[in-house]
Amino acid sequence: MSNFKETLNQLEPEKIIDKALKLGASYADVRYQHFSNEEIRVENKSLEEYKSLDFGGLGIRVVVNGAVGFASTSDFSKDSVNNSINAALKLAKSFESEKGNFAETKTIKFDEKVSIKTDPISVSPKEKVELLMETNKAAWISDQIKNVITIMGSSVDNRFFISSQGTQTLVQVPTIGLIQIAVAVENGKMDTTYHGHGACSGYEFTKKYDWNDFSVDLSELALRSVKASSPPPGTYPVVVDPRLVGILVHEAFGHAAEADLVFTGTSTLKDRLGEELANEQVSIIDEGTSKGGYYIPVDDEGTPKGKTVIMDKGVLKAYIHDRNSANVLAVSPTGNSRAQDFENQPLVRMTNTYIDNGDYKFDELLEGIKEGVYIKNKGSGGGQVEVGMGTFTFNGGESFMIRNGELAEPVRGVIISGAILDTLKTVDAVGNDLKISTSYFGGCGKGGQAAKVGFGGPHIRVQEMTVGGR
Amino acid sequence: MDLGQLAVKKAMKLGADEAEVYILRKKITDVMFASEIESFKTVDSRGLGIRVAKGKQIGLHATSILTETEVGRAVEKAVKIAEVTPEDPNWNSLNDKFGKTSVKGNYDDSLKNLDYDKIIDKVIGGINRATENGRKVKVTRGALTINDSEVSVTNNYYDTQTYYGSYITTYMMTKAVEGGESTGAESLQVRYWKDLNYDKIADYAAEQALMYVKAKPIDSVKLPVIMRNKFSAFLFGFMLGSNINSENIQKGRSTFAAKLNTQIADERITVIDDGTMPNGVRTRAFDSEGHPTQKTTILEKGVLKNFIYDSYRAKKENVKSSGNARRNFNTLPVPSTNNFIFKPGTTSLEDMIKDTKKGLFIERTIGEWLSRPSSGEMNATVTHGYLIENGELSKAVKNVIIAGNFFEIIKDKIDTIGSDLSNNGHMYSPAIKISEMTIAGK
Repeated sequence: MSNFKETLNQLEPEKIIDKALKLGASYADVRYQHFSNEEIRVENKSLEEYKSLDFGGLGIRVVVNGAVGFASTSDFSKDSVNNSINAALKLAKSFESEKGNFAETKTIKFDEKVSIKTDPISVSPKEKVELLMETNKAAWISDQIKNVITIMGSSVDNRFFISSQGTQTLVQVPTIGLIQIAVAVENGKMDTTYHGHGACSGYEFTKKYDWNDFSVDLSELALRSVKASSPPPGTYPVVVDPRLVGILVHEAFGHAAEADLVFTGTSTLKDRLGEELANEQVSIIDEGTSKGGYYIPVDDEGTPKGKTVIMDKGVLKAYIHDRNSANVLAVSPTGNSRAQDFENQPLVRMTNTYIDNGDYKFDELLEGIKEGVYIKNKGSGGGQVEVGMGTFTFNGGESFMIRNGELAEPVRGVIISGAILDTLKTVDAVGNDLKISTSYFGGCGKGGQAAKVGFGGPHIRVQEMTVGGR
Repeated sequence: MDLGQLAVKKAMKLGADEAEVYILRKKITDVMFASEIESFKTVDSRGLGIRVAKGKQIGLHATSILTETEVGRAVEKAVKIAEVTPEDPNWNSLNDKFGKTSVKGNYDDSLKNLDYDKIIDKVIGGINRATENGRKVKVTRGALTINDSEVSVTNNYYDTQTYYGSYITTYMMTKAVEGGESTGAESLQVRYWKDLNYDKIADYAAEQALMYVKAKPIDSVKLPVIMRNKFSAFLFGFMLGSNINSENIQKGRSTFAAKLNTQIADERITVIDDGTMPNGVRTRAFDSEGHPTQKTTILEKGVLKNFIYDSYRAKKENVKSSGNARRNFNTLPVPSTNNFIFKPGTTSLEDMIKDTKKGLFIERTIGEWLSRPSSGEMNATVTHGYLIENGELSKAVKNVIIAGNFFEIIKDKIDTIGSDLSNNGHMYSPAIKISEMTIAGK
């Protein structure tokens, strides 16, 4: 696709803003985005797919009498852009609302990118396919391995934002990731295991790992897993690993802290600010730029994203906000207004959300557990939450029984479930090995929009968790 | 010459042996609401994907900018990718059978004249309805999305073929304002604006929130389970749909290849995949490769009859495509179910409950999509369930995990197949009673 800044200049976003204001908008902003990616998939030692995408366009948001209208297009002809401006205004005029009342923010000019050494798209396709082929081939360590998929994805996301209040931001973020899925079969039983790594980085990311070891390791896990049996269903004390803690805190708690869900009454955290909802060892943070996480220095409304302490030592301190929700509570916006792409309006979303470090070493977390389960994310993943009820469910990956304070036999197919606020209360120990990660693959879904996020935490111990098996 | 033909011509000129262009133009109108309208948007969405073959080397590039210059660049990129990728030994050719099946009920002409005001009125009507009759609930989130799409497919063997489709989806979520943390939800997917009945959606979502204020987990136990039609539609459609997909069969992710023409399910079970069903949400004249759609019997009285194919997987096995290719503009086509229909029986849901001494009625779950089709392991966390005792709904249940094996269930554990056919997206099913599932609770 043509040069980002060149196209941007041709679009003359300032004129779009002027036109919207002239037609009666009290506020207008324009987002122009260009996202490009590449995905390569190798399955069972042969190349299955090599595809790439250029996805670009602009979104126009206007406020009329407090109502927000939005229109987007990837047709940059004058007529089409004018149609979009008119449509946005017409939409805003068609209903009554106060969602367009925004909290004050500082006007900023911001232009930053994550620097990379090697643009993945510039690396020869041959080299990339070879890396995937070698990784895939290394997985076939036994006749019981029946299927292996290896996928690498990389992208560069350019986002420009300008508002009628004078804020103008430009952010460029690269992501890359490699995942593998291995299927093992034994005695008619089949198990699928999954693992991967990723980062906001260029192709240099691939040099940080020994992909041969990664591949062999995942196959060994698949072979162990297919032999293991599920734990008997019931309620157990569990120790959860950092990746799963990250997913858990994001899904089961973080969404409930999103101010829009608090206002609509969806969230179980409504009217709970200042309350002690968890053990004092638990602090929960949402942060725009943190090591290992996704890079979000500024959100899609032009608000800088710093560090938000949502829970401080067990006490609920803050919700995360966009400009509208901050206005309602008369607080400062926290930089959490994020859109999937130019075709979508921003919503209140998390950035990098994690449980902060505690004091416990891993062995100390196991101490005192007579019969429990150590649940890791590696090998599996996925989960869902019903924010309104506070119910969550997650798939665990590689897991082990804990007996008398020590790790015992492996178990498979662990599914955990619980109610957020009940579960948080039974977190009685937090580890000191915080780790945050992000990837090209995966992300967060809300209101039909996906967003890149980072998650993490240290190991934690939860005294009561419902555990089901397959 | 249209854009698709131009792109194909350019690809051939650049040395491709075959080229295929898929163009999606879609107008999306979307309202998001809670107890009032929150946002309203319109999106003029477009995308073009070009797949080229140079011998047996394949490349795909896609773009959202449909100018001739940009499409020209996209073609160059696709050809460049094809030139450097390894050969696919299984490649035969692009789809070489274009055509249209005559279908009805997949496009609502009235959308062209639908004013924004009318959309807003309808949504507000739904929001107000939810709180009528003194119902102590609040609408916490909902959306109405209207898609008006045009899909064109061209390849070097055929001229451009186009179809139009309308697709309207909505959901409404509610929460009880007193008595406990209880939610309700209902969704609907239709082709026609006139079929969007907000009273029904609002009533269901509101009543559900009220029914579950006292919900609690039950002890771990094995029980018969009745699945609501929309839940069984998803679960059975997902589990069976994956296993009859030629991609999964060819890759060893389904064990069904060896089971063709054998009795794998209860003889009361008949399932069809139908790309031609009037008003079906996935009804279309041709699939994403231009191949005409059809009606394919999957299970007939429990006997496994057919699998679903796109042209690539069909050619691999030397069989005919079933017209099931599906793609977005930026992905390669894969086989995917069209309207996937689990044929109803004759028993009403009411009678199914009446005939159950003790069991669990399941309305809604989360995490059901984490089930594993290849091994048949089926799980879900029940957020909205009701204990049935002596033929009556007795206690509301939440936060229990159900588990069972899909292959065992369809063979030996089908108790009753309901009569109340409904759809969850493109998957259609009545309520189904299973004689036993494991429940992990307190």
